[in-house]
Amino acid sequence: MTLKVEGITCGYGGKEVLHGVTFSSDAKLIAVVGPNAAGKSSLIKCIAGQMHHGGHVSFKGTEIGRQEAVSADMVGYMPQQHMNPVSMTVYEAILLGRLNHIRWSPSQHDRRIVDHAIHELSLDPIADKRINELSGGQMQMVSIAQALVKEPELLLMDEPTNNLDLQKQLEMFEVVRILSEQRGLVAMMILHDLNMASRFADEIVVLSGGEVYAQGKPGEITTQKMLRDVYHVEADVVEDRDGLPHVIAYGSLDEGGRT
Amino acid sequence: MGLEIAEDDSLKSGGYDSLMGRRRLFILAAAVACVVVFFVDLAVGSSGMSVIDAFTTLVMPGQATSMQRLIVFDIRLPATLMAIGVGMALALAGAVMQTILDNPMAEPYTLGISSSAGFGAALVIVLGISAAGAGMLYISIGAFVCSMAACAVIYLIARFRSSDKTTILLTGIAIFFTFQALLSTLQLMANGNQLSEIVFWMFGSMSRATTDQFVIVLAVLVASSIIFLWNSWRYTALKLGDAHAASLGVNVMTLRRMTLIVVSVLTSVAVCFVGTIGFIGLISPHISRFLVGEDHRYYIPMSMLVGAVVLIVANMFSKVVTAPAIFPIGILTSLIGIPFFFYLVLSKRRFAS
Ligand SMILES: Nc1ncnc2c1ncn2[C@@H]1O[C@H](COP(=O)(O)OP(=O)(O)OP(=O)(O)O)[C@@H](O)[C@H]1O
Ligand SMILES: [Mg+2]
Repeated sequence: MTLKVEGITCGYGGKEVLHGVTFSSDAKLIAVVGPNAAGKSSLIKCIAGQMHHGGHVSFKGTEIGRQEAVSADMVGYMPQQHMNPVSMTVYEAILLGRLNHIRWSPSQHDRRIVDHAIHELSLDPIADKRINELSGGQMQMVSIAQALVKEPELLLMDEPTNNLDLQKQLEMFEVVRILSEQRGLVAMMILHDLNMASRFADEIVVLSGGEVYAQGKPGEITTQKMLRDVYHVEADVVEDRDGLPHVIAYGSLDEGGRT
Repeated sequence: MGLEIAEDDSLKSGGYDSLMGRRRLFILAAAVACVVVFFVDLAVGSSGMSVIDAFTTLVMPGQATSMQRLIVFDIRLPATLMAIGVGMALALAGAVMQTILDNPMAEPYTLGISSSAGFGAALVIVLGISAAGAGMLYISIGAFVCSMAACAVIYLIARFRSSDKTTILLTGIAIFFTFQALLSTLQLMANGNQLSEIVFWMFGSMSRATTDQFVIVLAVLVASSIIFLWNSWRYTALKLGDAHAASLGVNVMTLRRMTLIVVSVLTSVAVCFVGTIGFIGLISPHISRFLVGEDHRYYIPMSMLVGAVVLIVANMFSKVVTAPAIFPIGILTSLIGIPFFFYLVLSKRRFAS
């Protein structure tokens, strides 16, 4: 197994939020879905070694889940929150993704990698703009570019589609998919849009209440039952033209959601 | 990214290069300004010696009278050198404090390090230890010990409360008020002579600086600036926020603690010889950021140069405003600093970057 997560537990101030998360996967593109506060961000922070936790995580046989794996550029992690809006330019912010390689002046190699990412994500027009002057989506693309220029083997992204328009979302998925094909990158993304998750991922992990509810191919995971159990919504699941599941949601099953 | 990158095609991002070029130019200009005000400050004084005489003494010491050499090299030079050293030290301390605490109001003064030094000095004065010939030395030692103690409290609380930046800042502010209250108590207990000593300390002064003291400040300054510059990329990453810095591989907690320790020593050494001088640590980093942006390879040296220029200019004014008496330099920095700070805050103008 490429990625192995065994019995991850973690919490904030004594309150446990992950109660032993276990799964393993050989997939290249993994989506983590689940309702708000299910513990998705916490799980990805544990895997990225950004949080104290119990249990083990290994990737290609190497124990990860420690800050060292991030410092060694084996693991890349893109947090859910935005960067502080400081007066750095987009180029400077993306260049920081190469932090572990830069001693004093960034090398030509580092600069080329940044140039390339900027081009690939169509950020050229705003490369010299300051990040405190960006729109929400532009800021998100800068975060993504910064995570990509690290050139990690395992890329963990916490809600990368936030603030992005439809085309940008598809572009982002495309860039990650190409990287996984060309360089063998393994990407794990937290997503809220189940239809996008089905389209992007080889495998979906459903997290609910700090535990794994289910794991499998999009077709097996996205079911009426799962939507009722995990999300408490009434929905139909239909097949799109590629045979992928497509969710049509009608309403919330909880009292609060009914008016 | 790993998509076939041709190693031979030239860099497309000229914007970054021209930005860096502009920043280097600003640094150079600031360095030149620093040298200019250094010489002007040496030429200005309250002794009644003409500026032209002072310049001739500087350029051709051999042709000057021994009196002129005494004034320029033994009286003015130590004060001017000290202004450079202390200006750079306070600005450097303020610059990295603002970064690690993610707060534009952080500086040695607001974190109570300066006021604890003032208290230490006042304590020595009131206890009468300064009656002996080596009074100044004991006062400096008292100031140093107290400011290090204040830093130790901040550090320990940071250590046990997970280096949270808000906790550090609030602890610093609590320390500021504590020592301010203690200092007032000491002032009540002091007699007339002691009181004027204490006041001298509270408002800061370069007039008692010696070359030996300058060498100590310089040594600590060089060591700290090397440490800070060594970490400049990590500080720049920290500007994006704790989570992003950590995701880029920065060990945020370690960096914050290490910085706090170095800043403590640096500030304590700077304030223990010259007393409380506020605002330098606050405004210099702001000016620096306006000029060269967030990249700490430029922001750190620029802050130091601005700090030096501002304090030399303040030293110059302190000699001429109420000549032949010397006006307290700490009051001057506040008088220059406050309006300038308002200007910076109110006008959203940004010069470069
Ligand atoms: N910094 C924190 N301090 C205390 N509790 C936290 C903190 N971060 C998260 N939690 C709690 O941990 C639980 C899981 O949070 P987490 O951020 O992992 O959820 P999530 O699945 O990513 O949710 P979302 O979809 O809203 O991003 C929640 O109950 C939340 O309240
Ligand atoms: Mg989350």
